[in-house]
Formats: sequence, C-alpha cells, structure tokens
Amino acid sequence: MMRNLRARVTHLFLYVFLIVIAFIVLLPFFIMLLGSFREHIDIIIRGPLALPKIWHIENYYDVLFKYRFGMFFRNTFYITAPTVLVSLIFAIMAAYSLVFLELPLRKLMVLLSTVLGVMIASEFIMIPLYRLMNTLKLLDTYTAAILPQLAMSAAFSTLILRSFFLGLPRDLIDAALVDGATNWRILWSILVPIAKPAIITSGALTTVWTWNSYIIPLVLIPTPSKDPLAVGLLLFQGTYTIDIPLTMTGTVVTALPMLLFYLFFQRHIIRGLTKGAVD
Amino acid sequence: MNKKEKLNFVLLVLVVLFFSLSGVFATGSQEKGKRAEKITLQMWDDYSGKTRDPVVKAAIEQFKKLHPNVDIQRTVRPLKDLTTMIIPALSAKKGPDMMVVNSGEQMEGPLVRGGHLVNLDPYAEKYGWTKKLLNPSLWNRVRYSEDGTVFGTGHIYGVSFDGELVGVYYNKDMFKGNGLGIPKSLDEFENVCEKLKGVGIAPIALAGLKDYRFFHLYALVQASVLSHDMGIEEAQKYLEDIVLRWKADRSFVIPGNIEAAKIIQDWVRKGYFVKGFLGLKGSDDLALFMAGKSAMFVQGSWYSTEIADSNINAGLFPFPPYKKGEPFSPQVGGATTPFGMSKYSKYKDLDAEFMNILLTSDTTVRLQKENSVLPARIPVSLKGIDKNTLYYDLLDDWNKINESGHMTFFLDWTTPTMWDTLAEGGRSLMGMKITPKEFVNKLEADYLNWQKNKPKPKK
Amino acid sequence: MKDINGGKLHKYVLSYLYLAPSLIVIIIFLLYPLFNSFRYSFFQWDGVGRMSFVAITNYIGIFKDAKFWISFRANLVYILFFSFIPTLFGLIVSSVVARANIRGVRIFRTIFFTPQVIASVAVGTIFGWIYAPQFGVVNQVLDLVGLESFQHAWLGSSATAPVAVGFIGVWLWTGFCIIIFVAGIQKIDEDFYASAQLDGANSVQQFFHITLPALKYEIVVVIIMTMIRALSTNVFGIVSAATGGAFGTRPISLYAYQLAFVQHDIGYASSVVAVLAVIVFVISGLSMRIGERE
Repeated sequence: MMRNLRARVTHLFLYVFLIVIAFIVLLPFFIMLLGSFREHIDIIIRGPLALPKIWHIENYYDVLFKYRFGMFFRNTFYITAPTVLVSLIFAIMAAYSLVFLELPLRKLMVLLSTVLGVMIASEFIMIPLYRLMNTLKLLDTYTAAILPQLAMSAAFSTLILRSFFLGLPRDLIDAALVDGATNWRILWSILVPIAKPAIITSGALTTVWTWNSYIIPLVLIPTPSKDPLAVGLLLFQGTYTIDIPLTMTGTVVTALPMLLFYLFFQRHIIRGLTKGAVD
Repeated sequence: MNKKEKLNFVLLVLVVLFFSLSGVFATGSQEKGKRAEKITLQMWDDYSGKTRDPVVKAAIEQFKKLHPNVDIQRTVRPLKDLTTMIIPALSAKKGPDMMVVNSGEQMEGPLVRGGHLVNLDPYAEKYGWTKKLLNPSLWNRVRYSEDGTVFGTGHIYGVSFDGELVGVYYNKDMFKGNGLGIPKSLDEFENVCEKLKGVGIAPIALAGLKDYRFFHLYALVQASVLSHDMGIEEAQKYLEDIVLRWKADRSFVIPGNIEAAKIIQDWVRKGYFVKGFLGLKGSDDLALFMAGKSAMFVQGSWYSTEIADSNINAGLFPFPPYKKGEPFSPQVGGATTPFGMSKYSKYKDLDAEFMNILLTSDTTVRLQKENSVLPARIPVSLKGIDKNTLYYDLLDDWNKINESGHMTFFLDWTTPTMWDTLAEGGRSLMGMKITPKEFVNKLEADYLNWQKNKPKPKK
Repeated sequence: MKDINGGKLHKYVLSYLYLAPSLIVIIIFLLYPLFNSFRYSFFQWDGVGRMSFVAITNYIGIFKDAKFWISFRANLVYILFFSFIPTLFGLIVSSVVARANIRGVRIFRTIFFTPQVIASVAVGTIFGWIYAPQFGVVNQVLDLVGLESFQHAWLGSSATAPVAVGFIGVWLWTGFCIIIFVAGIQKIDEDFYASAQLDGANSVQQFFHITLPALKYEIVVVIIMTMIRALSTNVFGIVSAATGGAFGTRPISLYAYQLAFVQHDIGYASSVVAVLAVIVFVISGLSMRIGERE
C-alpha cells in the first residue's frame, strides 16, 4: 500500500515537472501565435502575453493568398523533400560502410563524411558556391538549393546513424550474418527497420533545418516565384521596419506543417522503440 | 500499411494539396504565351512598403504601355539581403539589370571599382535628370570618379527618385498639453526634454539595439554644434571633406565632435531617453512613440507614412541650431538609396528609359504626395496640403533643406567599417563606458585606418 | 566484422561504393567551396573587385583584432548554454522520466521538439520581447513578484546580454536532448536495471554505471551537433534578430558575415571562418575521440 502511494506521488511529481518544462518551452510559441493576431503597438502597450482585443484573422488570409505563401509552401516542398529523402538513403549506405565494412582509411573517411560535412555552415561558402553553381549552369534552379543541403543533411544523418549502429548489440549483427545474406539485404531488411528511430530522428531534424534554411535559396535562386517559405518571410521585412504581425503569421504558417509532420511520424518512432527489437 | 496508417497518409496528402493549391489560385496562370522578342528586365530592389512600392509599380505600368513586349521582374528584399545576393552575382558577372546600390562605401564604391556599374552621365544628360531633380550637392553623393577612388565627384552611378531626411517627430498633443513649443535652439530642446521628464513622459524613444538610431541622432547634434563653431559653410566643407573626399588633412578629433558626444551622453545621464533604451530593439521604439509612450522620435522620413497613419497627432521639426537665431542647421538626409545599372545588362537603353519614367513622371510625384513621401522633384509646392499634417511639416523641412543647400551625412558612408565603429562606439558612449573624447578617438582610428587602406588612384 | 564477399580489392571497392554517394556530394558541394573560401583568406578582396595576394596578413590581423576576441568570448558562452547545459539537463531529466510510464508521451515529445521548428528570425524577435525593458515578460514577472529592483534591460548591457542569449539556447536544445536521451535509454534492456536493483545499487549508481555508458554515442552526437550549432548556424540567426550582435553577443560566424558582406573584406572574413572551422573541427574530433573510447 505504502509503495503504491509513493509510486503514485512520484508519478504525479514527474507529471507536474514535465508540464512546467512544457509550459516554458511553449511560451515563445504562444507569444508568436498571439502576435499573429495582434497589432505591433498593442504588443508594446500591453505586453507580449496579452490576449488580442480584436482578432486580426485577416493576417492569415493575407499571408496565404495575397502574399502567395501557398506557392512558397510548394517551393519549399520541392526543395526539402528530395533533399531529405535522398540524403537519408545516402546516409544509411554511408553509415553502413563506415561501421560494418572493411574500409581503408576508415578514420579519415569518418571525419570527411560526418564532422567535416556537418560543420560547414552555408554562410561561409556562399561566394564559392554561387560560382560553382554558375559553372554547372544550375543557377536559379531548385537543384542548386537542393545539392548543398543534401550534402549537409547526408553528413548529419551519417553521423547519427553511425553512432546508432555502433551502439547496437553485437549478437544482433552476428545473428544476421550467419544467415549468409548479402550486404544489401542485411542493410535494408534487417538494419534499417531496427534503425528506424535514428532514421526518423535525423530525418525530422534535417527536414526542419532544410525547411527553415534561407541563405542558400536567397543567393542561388533569385527568381521570386521560386522562393521557399523562409525567403518569403523576408517580404515582411523592409530595410527600415519589419511588419511584426505578418512576420509572426508567416512564421506560424511556416512552422505548422513541420509540427504536423512531426506529430504524424511520432507513431513510427514509438513502434520502432518497442523493446522487442529483436524478436 | 494498415488502415489507420492509410487514413493518416491520405490526410497528409490532402493537407499538402490544400497548401499547394492555394498557391495556384493566388498566382494564376504561370506561363504567358511566348512571343518572338520577349524581353525580361531583372530588377533587385528594396522598395517595399507604402512609401515606395506604389511608385515603382506605377512606373512599371507606364513602361509596359510603351514597351508591351518587355517584362520587368522585381525581386524585393531588405537591403542587407540584397547585398548578400549582389556580391556573389556581380563578381561572377551575372545578376540583375538594375539594382539598388547602397551609398558610398557601403556598396557603391566597391562596385564602381570593380567595374560593375554603368556610368549614367550620358543618360542623365539625355533626360535632364540633374536639372529636374534634387540639387547638385545631393547628386554629388552618388558620384564616383571613373576608377572609383574618389567619392563625391565624377560620374553618376546611381539615381534616386525620392528624398529622405532625418528630423524630430513629436507628439503634438503632448507638447501642447504641457505648454511646449517647437525648440529653436539646443538649450530650448533640452528644456523641453527636462519639462517632459518632469511630468513623467519619456522625452525621446530610441532603440539602443538598432545600430543607426544613435548615429543619425549624433550627426544632427554634430551638425548643430559644428555650424556654431565654424560657421555653416566651413562646417559643410568639413563634413564633405571627411565623408566624401576622405581628405587626409582632416581629423575627427575636433572640439565640436567631442562636445556633440558629450551632449548626448549628458542626455542619457539626465534620463532623456526611454527607460531601458539600450535593450530596446529597432521598430519597438517607433511603436512606443506611436503608442503615445514617448514624446519624440528622432528618425527618418521613411517612417512618415506609418506615423501619419497611427493614432497619435504627430508633427516633425528640424533639429534646431546651437543658439537661437543661428541659421538653419544642416540636417541629415539626401536622396534615398540609389538605384544603379549593371554593366552586364543587355538592355541598357531600356533600363535607362525605365529609370527616367521612375524619376520624372508626374505619376511618381502624385503617388508620393498621396503617401507622404518626399519627392526628388524640388522645390515641392505646399499648395493644397493641410498645414496641420505631418506631411506638411516634412515637405516644409525638405524645401528648407534644399533651399539652404547644406546637408550633413549618414556618417556610415565614410568607410566600410564606419557603421560598426559608430554603432559600437555609440552604445559604449550611451552606456557610460567611454568618454566623449574616447568615442571621437574611435572614429578617428577608423578614419586613419581607412587612409591606409583606401583605394588609391592608379597612376 | 565478418566479411561477406571474398577478395580484398573487391571488398574495398564495395565499401567505398556504399560510401560514395554521400562522400561525393559532400566533397563537391561543401569541401570544394570551403577550400576555395580558404584560398580567399590569403588575399585582400572586396568581393567584386580585384584580388591582391597578402599571404598570412589576414591571420596575423586576427590576433590583434579586439572584435574577434569579443566574438570568441561570446561563442564560449554559447557553447556553455547551447551545448553543455542542455545536454546536462537532458541527461538528468531523461534518466528520471524515461523509465516511468508516462501517458501522453507523444504530446510531450512534440512539445519538446517545437523550438526547433520556429525560424531563427522569429525566435530572436520573440525573445527580444521577452527581454524588453518595459513591456517585456521577464521584467513584468519580476514586477509581479515584487522584485522590481531586479528589472533590467537584459539585452542592453554586455554584462547580461550574452547570458540572456545563452538562455535562448537552453530553451532551444534542452527539449531536444530529452527526446534523444529518452529514446536512447528506452533501448536499454530493463533487466540490467532489475539485476542492479537486486544487487543493491541505488538510482544514482544505476545512472552512472548503466545509463551513462549506454548513452555514450547519443551523448557524443548531441554534443557535436549542439556545439556546431552553437558555433555557427543557430546563433547566427538568433543573435541577428535579437540584438544584431550588440553588447558582446556577436558570435564569430556573424562577425565573419559582416566582414564579408558589410565591410567588403572577404579575405579577412575567410580567414576568420578558417579559424572558426579549425576550432569546430578540433572540438568535434576530440568529442568523438573521447566519447567513443571505452
């Protein structure tokens, strides 16, 4: 009886604790949401957390239709989807090679294909990258925005997957190998299903980062009708002022698909996490 | 996939479809029929917002009537992002036909030196721009020598279609309610601040985190002090020698500059700025002013439309001279960020024609007047404009400025690093971390560094 | 590992074949431009004019450059707040939470992931409001609990601004660390804990002897990732929007960007980037080396 009560209290404590953290985590998002319905002056006078006196729903209408965010959404999809999907495939293969296959110069390859790839942020390579795309005649195409981000995402996912593979119990691998399967089969039929949580996690992160990235498309794709959402947000920023409500609305519209996407794929993470990984 | 998964997948597809389709409805038909000689001119600008966007759009309309087969495609971005796009593009000899080019060493200098901009003198001559618009000293601000080593004289590399000035926006009701008139001298200005503080109103809204708030204010105070110290003509010459001509025999370290810095620091000490202003972000200070939480806002005419539309009764007065009765002090301002033509444009004459429409058409002036913008066509007739409006004050100020022929500068044009030096120095000054003399020394150090590094004419 | 297809050369080729797609895109689209960037660091160039060779002048300039060192200090603060603290919090919270059966896990997981999803511009703007002097959330809360004297312009002085920005990092990454570590812990076989319990080990001992070692790889990955974001991408966007780099908050990456695109000194900017890259590389490499040893 005592043990049950103690367990329950601890449980309750845990819940409260988690809810407090969740609250703090959500605060800025809440401010952003409120901000999208309010006027800037109102935010200044009554503070960021006050509820709107008038709900300016027209901001959403403006952003979606007048400012063509639907089109930006489509463009962002064109850039993000291929980047993430292809980078995951590349990363799965690369991680497999780095961990399970005999690779001369392995240590060097690890560095090149993970750390070095992850640490190169787009701001640093803008000018050479532009010239490269110019030489390859890829300027102003979605491909130009996809390729560098594909590389960055692949490097990152390789990093995550490699760590995951290294952490797997040995007997799992040996058991598979005893069957005499080919590399390809082992990788795709056995390892990938086990690695689903790692794949989903790195996929979710690279999706979000690519979704929100703006410097590469800004410089490599000048045509406004091809802008992704992150560049579209710049429409609300003038050189001197920034239209706060519209920026907030634009950010909510940009972020919402990502949240839904993540909520959606949660299901798979849970399934992959069941302890019966080895049946 | 099991049933639930299938359902979720369908839902996802529907959501994606919804977003994509709303884009299609908004953009309408994508492909226009391709006619034989369809030309597209690319234009990269930052003319967003009510003050400039309508003017540009109208000019494009007019242009299209004259040239139906020519399309002008704009890419509108904030200036700093444009710079990020322009540098890689032009250095690879690509990019737009026309673009906004930030003044002086901010962007124009390097571009001229790299040979990327077209000398617009022939077109200015042909269309008579220098006769119709602005005044000569304003045109000097877009001039560079052919090799780009001398600023302020030489060929015209950029044009502007509206003017800008920095002045003191003030809340008319707050002034009237406290028996305050427009200050006519520095002392009177400080008295006004003191009185406002006494009744609990924050005199000046200024965002410490927004770099240029400080140095626009500083330039105004500086001009006032220097005009008193040296006389207006000398002061104007001094400023031009430093900002435009980078004369090595001039120095920032003069008593006038130090005094101007001291004045501002004293204002901080006396609490003339909004509480916590150092941690205030840009445009939040404007919001405070428009919300009626402070009496004055010292900034540029580019905010005029917004302020005019807000709920407060606002006016503008020029920053006063040092002593009462002294002549009209040079204000900060000039023509707006200039607009240039790329050497790699294949349609230079068409570009120039468009520029001409933008600069000189009557529609431009009409739209500018409708949106409280300062036209480049001066002097501006005040007929028919309500004396009580903000716009009246602005135009009055603008006319006075152009008439006097004296104008001080956005000091950041001087060297490529000056923006940062002024911003950081200003914050240290207002944060009481350095003395006025140390502040001026920082400017001087930056200037001397530029003397070493500035482009030298090729012999 | 056992080799599957015989023949050494055949084996090596195969290994590289798997690695190739990833490696090739990285080399062409990341390493090659980086190498070019590195090349620029030996010149003086404004980006649109001529380049003049200056050898290592730029690098020497870095040592004497006070602004660089201020940025360096900012980055140190950010490493602490964007990387170490979230990792630590994440470990502590996850070790407590992971094995308890909490309902609504999915909701919490999404909530903790939210910060990642908001664009940096919005994050910076919003926190600008949270820290604002008069109407800001922090100051208003202090007012409510009677601590007005503590009110401050948080982003307005070099004493508080970097740490204030640092807290944004804690907000951004802690939730994420919790998610990763929880997933990692749930991978551990419950039997380990059960037998340890029987042996008389308490929670703390269990943490250090079972949980921590099992999370070895997750920790390394998280540290590398957050560290890199702390040194470049994240802070760039957030600081730009929140303070514009004022009051000692400007990170090296933002400084390099301004050097290149505002001050038109691409050569010097490239050298700063090169130094930054070396720092990042060394830290990541070390983390990997240390973390992956037994």
